[in-house]
Amino acid sequence: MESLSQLMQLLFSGLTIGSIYALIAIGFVITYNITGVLNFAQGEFAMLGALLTISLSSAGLPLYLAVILAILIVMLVGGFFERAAIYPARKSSVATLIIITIGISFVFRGAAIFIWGTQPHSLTPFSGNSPIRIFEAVLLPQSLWAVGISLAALAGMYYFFNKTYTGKAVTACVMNRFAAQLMGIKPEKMSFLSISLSAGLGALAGIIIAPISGASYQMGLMLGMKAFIAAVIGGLTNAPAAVLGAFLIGIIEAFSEGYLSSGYKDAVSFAVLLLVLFFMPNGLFSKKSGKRV
Amino acid sequence: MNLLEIKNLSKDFGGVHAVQDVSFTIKQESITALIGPNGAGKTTVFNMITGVFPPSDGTIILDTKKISNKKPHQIAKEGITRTFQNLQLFADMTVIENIMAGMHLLTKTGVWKAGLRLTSAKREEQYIYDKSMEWLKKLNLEQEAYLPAGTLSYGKQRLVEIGRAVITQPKLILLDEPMAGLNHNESAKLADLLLDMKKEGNTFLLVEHDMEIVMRVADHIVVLDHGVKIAEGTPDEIQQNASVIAAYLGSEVTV
Amino acid sequence: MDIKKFTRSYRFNLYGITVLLFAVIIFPFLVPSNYIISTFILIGLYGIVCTGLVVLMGHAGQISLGHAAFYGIGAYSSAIVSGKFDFPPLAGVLTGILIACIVALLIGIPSFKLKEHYLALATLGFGVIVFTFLKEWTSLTGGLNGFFGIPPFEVAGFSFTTDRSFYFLVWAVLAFGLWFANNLIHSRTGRALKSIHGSESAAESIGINLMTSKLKALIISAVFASVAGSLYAHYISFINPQLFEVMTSIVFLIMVVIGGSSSLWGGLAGAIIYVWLVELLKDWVPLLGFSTGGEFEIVFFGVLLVVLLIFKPEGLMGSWKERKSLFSPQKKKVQDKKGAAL
Repeated sequence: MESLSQLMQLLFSGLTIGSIYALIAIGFVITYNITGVLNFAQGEFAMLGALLTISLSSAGLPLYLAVILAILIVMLVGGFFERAAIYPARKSSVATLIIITIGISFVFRGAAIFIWGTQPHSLTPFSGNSPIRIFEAVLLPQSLWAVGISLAALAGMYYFFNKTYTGKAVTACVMNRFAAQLMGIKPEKMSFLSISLSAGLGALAGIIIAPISGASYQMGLMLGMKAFIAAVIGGLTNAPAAVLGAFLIGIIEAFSEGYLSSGYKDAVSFAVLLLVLFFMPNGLFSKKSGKRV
Repeated sequence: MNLLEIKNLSKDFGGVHAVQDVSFTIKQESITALIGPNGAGKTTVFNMITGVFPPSDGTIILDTKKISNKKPHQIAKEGITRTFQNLQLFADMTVIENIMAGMHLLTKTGVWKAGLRLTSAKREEQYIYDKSMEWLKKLNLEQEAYLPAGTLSYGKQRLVEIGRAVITQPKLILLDEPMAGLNHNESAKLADLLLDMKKEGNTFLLVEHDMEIVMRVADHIVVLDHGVKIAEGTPDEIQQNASVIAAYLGSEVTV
Repeated sequence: MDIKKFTRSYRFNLYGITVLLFAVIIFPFLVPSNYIISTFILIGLYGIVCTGLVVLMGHAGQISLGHAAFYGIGAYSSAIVSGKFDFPPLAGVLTGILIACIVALLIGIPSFKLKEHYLALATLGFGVIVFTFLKEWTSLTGGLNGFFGIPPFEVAGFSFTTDRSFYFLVWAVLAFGLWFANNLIHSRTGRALKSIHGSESAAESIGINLMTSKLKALIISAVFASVAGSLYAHYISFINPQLFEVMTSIVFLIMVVIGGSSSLWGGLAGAIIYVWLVELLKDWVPLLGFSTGGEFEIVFFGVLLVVLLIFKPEGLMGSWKERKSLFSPQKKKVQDKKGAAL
């Protein structure tokens, strides 16, 4: 049963990393739909969240408080980023906005080096490190935390967007900006809200993964890009599809790492991105693929 | 002789019949007007002729050649150019550059010849320039040749757009609401220009709301309502047609 | 009126190139410092890549986040063809050009069927894939250990072994590149690209094929990058995959944004400013008490990029021209997306 246990092992690690990508990918989708910006700095929120939590908890705060505080700080940073860089350039072309977010990601990364240095840091797992055995495969408790928290956060997002007034207002902005404006919903406010919300989700993702793979100033780049692939696979406009895309990418990565070589992991994900872009530009899960007029 | 023949043209947008079973023909050296209340399907017909989207059903034949299902740039190559309802000028380019861009199909210098500035490329550039200048004179836009097109008055921008469409001397020119946004004086002048150009052998199809102008310039009028052709004929015939009057009274009156 | 007035900006650029050539020839005699000559070799190489990008970004309105991969294709083609198989260096350069063209076609055709930002995504993915292959295909590329022993560039029996001779070579190629781009911009092809940038539907209506025009721009920019990469490999004689990472692509992008993509000179100006700023930062940052010089660069250019795009989106060379570029405010497309988030 060697091969089955390996299969299970890879599946577990795929789901774990997939749940991290899912959180960041949703941030992408929310930001893209409300502001029209492809936010290449999305992954940096994960990095900030992880490193802040590490600092706060090593300063003596209990872990849960450190986590909450870190998320709030990153949400503030996200909101500030929207006001300082996205809002003043909101009338620019798509290309300009993309490059602005790339610039911002540089700023975040550089700031992280000043504060935390280039060395990787680690965070203690949320609940011990004794592995759980399922079907001959080893599962770390942190993986369960990762998947559990992601699913809870996704459920929370679903509730927020479909059941609360503010959430519905954001959704309205996505569907019809002009109509939303007529109803007294300010798109500017929604832009602020959506980016700070995405930042919070990103921070959460970074905090969850920190005990598994550590945290450093450069972790955001790849996390962001993978989440980004997930969002594109999902068609960029559909959050549940982005979540599915994230799990898919997580699993594909785990398997290509396990069966191929870890060096090819990134190339495989990006090859999937290219294939989806070229053959199913509206996403893997869209019913119709074709040009939108 | 028939230049363009439209047979049983239909277009559905997800169950909505935007255009249904419309047929008409356009004669060489004529001005045909396509009129009808808002939402009648005029622009949809335009977009099918110019290849923006393919018809759901029916054929479009230009000079005995079937052109339905071709792409916009291929349609242009077949000899149909157009102007747009909401001006589509290359606003950052100068007026003369706009007109020169219109010469694309008449010329053929490629990347290598252009990049290495071979003699043939230089010669062709001179030809494009001379021809464009000639047209600017004709359109009375010489003074504005080196201004960015976006800085001109609305009426002059219209002229530039028309100039860009006619410079290759296409078989058919489609004008989507050419009088929109022009004052009385400007539209009268534009109407004269169209009549002049018709005499020189050009053929036009236009969508227009200004009925006074339509009645003055059109040789033939096709009336659409709710995607269906309800009448066709000379301006006199149309003015007398009961169903046309009903269609217009039923919606807004723009006469 | 004759064509003289129309070709004023073309001729202005020609004078510029001539002046540049004179300056290039005189410069090493005025400044005999090898250090400065070597920075100018780097500027020349980046200038070649960025001049290609100016055609792609400023005129075709497309952004690439993967030009380091084309640069790398050129470098490794030269390294392998001349270093491993002992063919003449020119054969390596041509191989690089050929591969770059094919790859540009493969990336471009599907991307240009799609909406405007898809080239950015596709080139980003392509950059990572190329990087992975350079890293993993160790039998051919040497992997992360790098590729050693690339011979000096040689043409017609003359070998460019000194920095000074290489400096002349690079700047001659750059001058040729500028001349070529200037000719192209002021031609039927250049007008077609600008038309597409102005209005895609209008460009199509006058018979311009959007796909082939954009492809031409992408291929030209890929060839420029590949040639620069080949020269770089011969100059430095040792290359490794990390030189051609995604960050390098972004650095090229930064240069073009700083210089301004609407001007022919934007790429070169951006390269000069970038290289000098990096050198200045290296000298100044330690004085401020920071030990992490290389990282300070990142923040600095990040801030510079954002500030420039918000306050001077046309870049530094942009004010020389009234023409607007890719990076100028334009009417934002009406948001009409089907399918809501959640």
